[in-house]
Amino acid sequence: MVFSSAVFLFVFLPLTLALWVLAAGADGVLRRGPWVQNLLLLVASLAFYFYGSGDQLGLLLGVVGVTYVAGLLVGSERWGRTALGVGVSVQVAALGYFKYANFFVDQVGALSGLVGGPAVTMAAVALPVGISFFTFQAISYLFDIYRREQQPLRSPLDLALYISMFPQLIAGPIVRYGEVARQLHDRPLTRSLVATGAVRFIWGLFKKLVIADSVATIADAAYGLPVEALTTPAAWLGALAYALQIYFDFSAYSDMAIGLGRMFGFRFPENFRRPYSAESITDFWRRWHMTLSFWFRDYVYIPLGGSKASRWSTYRNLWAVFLLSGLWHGAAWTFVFWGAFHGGLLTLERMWRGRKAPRLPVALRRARTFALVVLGFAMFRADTMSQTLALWQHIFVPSDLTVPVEVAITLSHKNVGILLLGLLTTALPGRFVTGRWLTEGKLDAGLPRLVRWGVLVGGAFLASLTLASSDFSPFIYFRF
Amino acid sequence: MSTPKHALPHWESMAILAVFVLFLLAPAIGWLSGAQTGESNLQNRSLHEWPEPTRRKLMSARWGSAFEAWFLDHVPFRAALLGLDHHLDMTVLGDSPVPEQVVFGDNGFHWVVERIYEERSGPFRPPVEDVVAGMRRLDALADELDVPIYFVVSPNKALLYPEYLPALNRVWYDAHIVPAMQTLADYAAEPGSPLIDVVPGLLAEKRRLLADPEIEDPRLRYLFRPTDRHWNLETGRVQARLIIDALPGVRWRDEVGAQHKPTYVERESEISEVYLKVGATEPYTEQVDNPVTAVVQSNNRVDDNKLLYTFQSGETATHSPDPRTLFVVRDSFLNDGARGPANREGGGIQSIAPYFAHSFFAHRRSVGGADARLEPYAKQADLLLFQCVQGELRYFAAHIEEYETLIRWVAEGRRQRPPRGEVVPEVGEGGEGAGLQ
Repeated sequence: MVFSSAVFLFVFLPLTLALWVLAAGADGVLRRGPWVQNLLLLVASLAFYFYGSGDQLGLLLGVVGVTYVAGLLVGSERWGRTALGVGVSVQVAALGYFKYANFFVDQVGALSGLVGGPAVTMAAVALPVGISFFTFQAISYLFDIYRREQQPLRSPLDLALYISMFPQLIAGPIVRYGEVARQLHDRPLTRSLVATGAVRFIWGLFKKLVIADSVATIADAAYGLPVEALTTPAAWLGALAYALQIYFDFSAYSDMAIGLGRMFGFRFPENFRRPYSAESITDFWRRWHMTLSFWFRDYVYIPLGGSKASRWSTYRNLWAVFLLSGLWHGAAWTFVFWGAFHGGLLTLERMWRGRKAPRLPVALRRARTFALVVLGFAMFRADTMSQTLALWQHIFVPSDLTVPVEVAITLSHKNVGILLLGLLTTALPGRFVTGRWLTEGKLDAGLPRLVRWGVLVGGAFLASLTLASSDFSPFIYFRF
Repeated sequence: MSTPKHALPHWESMAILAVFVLFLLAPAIGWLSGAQTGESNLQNRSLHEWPEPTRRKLMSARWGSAFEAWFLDHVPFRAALLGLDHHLDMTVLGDSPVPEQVVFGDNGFHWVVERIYEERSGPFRPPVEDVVAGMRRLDALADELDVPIYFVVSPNKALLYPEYLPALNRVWYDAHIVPAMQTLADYAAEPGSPLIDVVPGLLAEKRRLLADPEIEDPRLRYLFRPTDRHWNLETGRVQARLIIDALPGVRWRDEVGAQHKPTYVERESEISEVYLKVGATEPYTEQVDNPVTAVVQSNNRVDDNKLLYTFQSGETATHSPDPRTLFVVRDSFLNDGARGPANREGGGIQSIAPYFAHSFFAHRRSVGGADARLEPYAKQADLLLFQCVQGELRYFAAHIEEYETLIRWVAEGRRQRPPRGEVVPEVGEGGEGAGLQ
């Protein structure tokens, strides 16, 4: 069940909100904090996960159980280090098995085939939805306790709620325990907060259904072409459309998650900050999927030594982080190379830093960064590296200048308009406030009333039309 | 952390929440008020049925996806929203709601996507050069066996009306299809070429129709239906005339017309079938009064097993001196694509066939080669005409050997046939409707 599905919008969410109002009333009577609300949210979250994942709910509960026990032990003086090691290892093992077993077996099989060995096969392992997100939250919880930054939760229900809370369960943002620890027991709730949450949610719904899914048709058509049918316009269109799709798709999910969080009184961290107007790749990673970037920074990069040691150690650490980040996104060589691509670019930027060289104007720096990011996402989206190389070849070396039918039919007035609007708004510098509204989703009280209402009413209406005319399409980050 | 800088006024918060709740509860309100839900004819498919929740389905999460499909189909206001969305697409944005099937061009022309691009997997896979090579090979055999053969490649709508294609489609079409068709035209221009090029004649007719101020009905002003892929009945007649004029020993007779029902009613535009979500775009259900082509009741017949169509209509349907001298192998010979209502009764390729003495096409899957049932007819033919529409050339190129068999049958018949003027035995049942058995 995705947030943009009719069942979520018109069954699950109204039902949960209605019960939540009752729960809030009950909490008001009991005066024990949001205890009933938390219980309701936990039950709703588990139902949400069971509905979409069936018996894989057991894995989620297992992760919660292991994290709970490990968290208590990590908090002790005697068992802290061992418990952290065991707890994190179990999470990593679960992630490794469910996400990478198929990939690993395929590679071993391919190697075996190369040397004339026996076939290596294994029954396919189904990937549990959201495993990359909830295991990372569990790991951050254990580390924060180990570092004495947080206290372990005594209530397994609280921990279960933290890990499985449905707004951020399956596609983030990756909420670190410290960011919501206090809110689990004390979260002042105002009508204004709920109302801005509603607007933020509708904004995300609009971005997903109207923008992301429109440009997705162009990207899907271009990437669906056989390599020999690729042309230069198709390669450009595919690369640009996918760059917009993944941004609007993923940031839409984050908007909806943040909006839902507000409706229940939680304030989740932002996940995007106009990433396509970044001036460098380093800057890009401070703006794109920020909760993941910061997670890797705090739990991998810094423990490895960060940039405190030698220059070469810093480069090694960067590469390690980005290779892991690539793998985190998916079990395929394209993701590994995508991680290496960004690791390489960051290394180059570091090497270049401090050198006396004329600085490009800011617009050119942004354009350069955007182009590199788009090229990277071409790899991210491609099924194989050979498809990536073919795409890059057609981008850089103009060949056939016609638009293949599969792509041409997706270039409706609406899709082309949205593609151009998306390109303009995502690349707008921060001082253009329109760009900030459109790309950051800061639809709080600071927003002009007309825009806020336009988003609410217009967004809901257009999203409804789009939802009615098509089957829903899953959010991209579900598969990560 | 996303903390609002300012709180909204109380009234505005309440108003936003009211709108949001209304949005979430709209379907529930719709249910209570009995609002219209999805309709199968609007979806062009059967609606999803209620999925019975079983333990197995629930544990594997398959019930959820089935439930979502059912819910989306039955959610109130679905039909209204769907129609509104597609109406806005068409009227405000000028976009096709089903661009993977139909795209909008200029001047009210709609284009069936697969028909614009079908040639990509047609004469170019194999390449058009292979098609020409196949024609040369058949021509050589026919020469050797002294059998007159001719080829006709009927153009598609895009070749005659490229100016109404959407710009991007036209760029592609001009770059990929037009050169290939030019290869065919070049072959047709060779001295003694068996390929009859009807494109120049049709283009002249196109210009004549556009310049005629008295023609107002777009179905008659254009050679192809603006919102369909088929040509109309008059275009069939024009093409038949162009072909007849190019053949030796035959003479066009104005009194000979196609054999269509006298009260012929054109079928609905095929494009309307994909526009059910917003209603038919062009009402082809009304009768089109066309005095040229609406003539006597056809004696066309269709085999029970739908393998073969045959036209054997005697004097009224042939322009040749002898009704059995012209044998037309239609483009659909050995393919399975000509089963739609338009082809059976409408303005498609079938509209040419009734002008000739014998015409055959068969469904490839069923016939699977040069079917022996064609042999008696082939042996009565003096002249063999292969007629293909542009997009069907791939079938032609794939079955050259079978066409060689046909040529041999014709040659054998010509050797065995009594001299002209003697009584030719009837094949199959006599009388009206006589045909292949």
